[in-house]
Amino acid sequence: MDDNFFQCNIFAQCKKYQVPLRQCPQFLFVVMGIIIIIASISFYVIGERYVSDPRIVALVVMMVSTILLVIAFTITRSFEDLAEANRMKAEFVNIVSHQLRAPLTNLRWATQFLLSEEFSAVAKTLSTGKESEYFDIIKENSARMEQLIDDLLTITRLKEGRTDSKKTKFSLVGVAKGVVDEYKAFMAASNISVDLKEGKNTPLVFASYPLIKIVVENLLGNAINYSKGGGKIAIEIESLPKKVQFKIKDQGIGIPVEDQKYIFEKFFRAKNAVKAEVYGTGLGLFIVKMILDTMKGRIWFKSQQDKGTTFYFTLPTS
Amino acid sequence: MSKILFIEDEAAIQKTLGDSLRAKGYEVQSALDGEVGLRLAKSGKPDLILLDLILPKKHGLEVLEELRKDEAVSNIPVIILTNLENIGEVEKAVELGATTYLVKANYSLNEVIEKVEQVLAKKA
Repeated sequence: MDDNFFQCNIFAQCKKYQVPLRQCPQFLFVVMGIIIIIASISFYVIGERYVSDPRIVALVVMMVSTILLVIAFTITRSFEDLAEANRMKAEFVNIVSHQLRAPLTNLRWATQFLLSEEFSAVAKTLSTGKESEYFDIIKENSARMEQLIDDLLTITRLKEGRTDSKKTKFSLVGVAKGVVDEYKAFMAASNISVDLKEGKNTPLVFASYPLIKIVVENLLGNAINYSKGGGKIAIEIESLPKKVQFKIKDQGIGIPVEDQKYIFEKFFRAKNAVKAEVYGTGLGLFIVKMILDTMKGRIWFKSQQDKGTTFYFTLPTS
Repeated sequence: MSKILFIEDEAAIQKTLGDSLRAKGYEVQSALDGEVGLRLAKSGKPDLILLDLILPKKHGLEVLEELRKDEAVSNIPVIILTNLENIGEVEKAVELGATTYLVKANYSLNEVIEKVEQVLAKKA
């Protein structure tokens, strides 16, 4: 009974597809049906009572047919969009399951090997078979899974507007200094130095502090990770009319030209990033762009393969 | 004892499965990308190849295709060891002559070793 009611409730069904009414196939189908019924009755009444010239009736029928054709086309497009969304969802689930499976397999196999009878024999005979190395595998892969789950949760919360996105006025320079401080040990280990420059009288930005911190962390993290073998990172924050610009320049592996247009897409990893064996979930820049879009900011970059990348973003001051 | 070439970019998997196979007495050679893997396969002529699919420099299916084209190494059994479960990839791998296709997450370490032993026993 409930199911039948649900089938008849067009609004509930359109809500389920998460598309506006004008793009909802069921709604458009009902609209088309109503137009056909009204048009048929009207043609009959008008033709019968008021119009003696059949050409006028034919013209009106043609006009109404054109409208129906447009609606039918929109319905077809809506079905295509829904099918595409479904395909993307399936692909998303496929990629996520692959990304989660890799660290899970590592964890499972490392634990199984540690618990196996062979392990003690290996520990004696092989220079590589030390317990601590397997505990490192467990530690690293737990962190990988945690990062992926955190990223996915951030995306879901951003999409549903459930993040801590309350806007306040704060200093972007302050955020940058704080993040650089947090990453000091990581940078020292990666043989990287950072230079942070602040323009004169840089105003406060109007955005969500915790979300912008995620943006700066991601951009600095990428700059460090992709500066293979060390180098310099330059951060500049300056004032522009009604906004503040953040610029971060590295001397890393750069982004190949053919990959540049995909760089903000979900799960995309540039070919040279995979080749360089830099681990990433492929979600960092997607999240960064999503946050800046929500905060009415803008992000772009310039990059040259093997020379480095410069990311820029702006945030409004009010 | 049999010689196994393990082409896999995940260092953790290389270490865990590699050490487990070594503990069983196999000689294991490691390659972290497709290009090195193909080169080692041609020069070392192993008894069995364990091949991941998503690899830096050369995709696993390309490695398999090139192996099957080269008469000197075309008969070496290849076990695909991946976390990709798309039917398209499985079909392509079988079509290119993979001996068997294992999804890592669905197998325990011991089960993978058992499969390796089975394939090697068949070859012998």
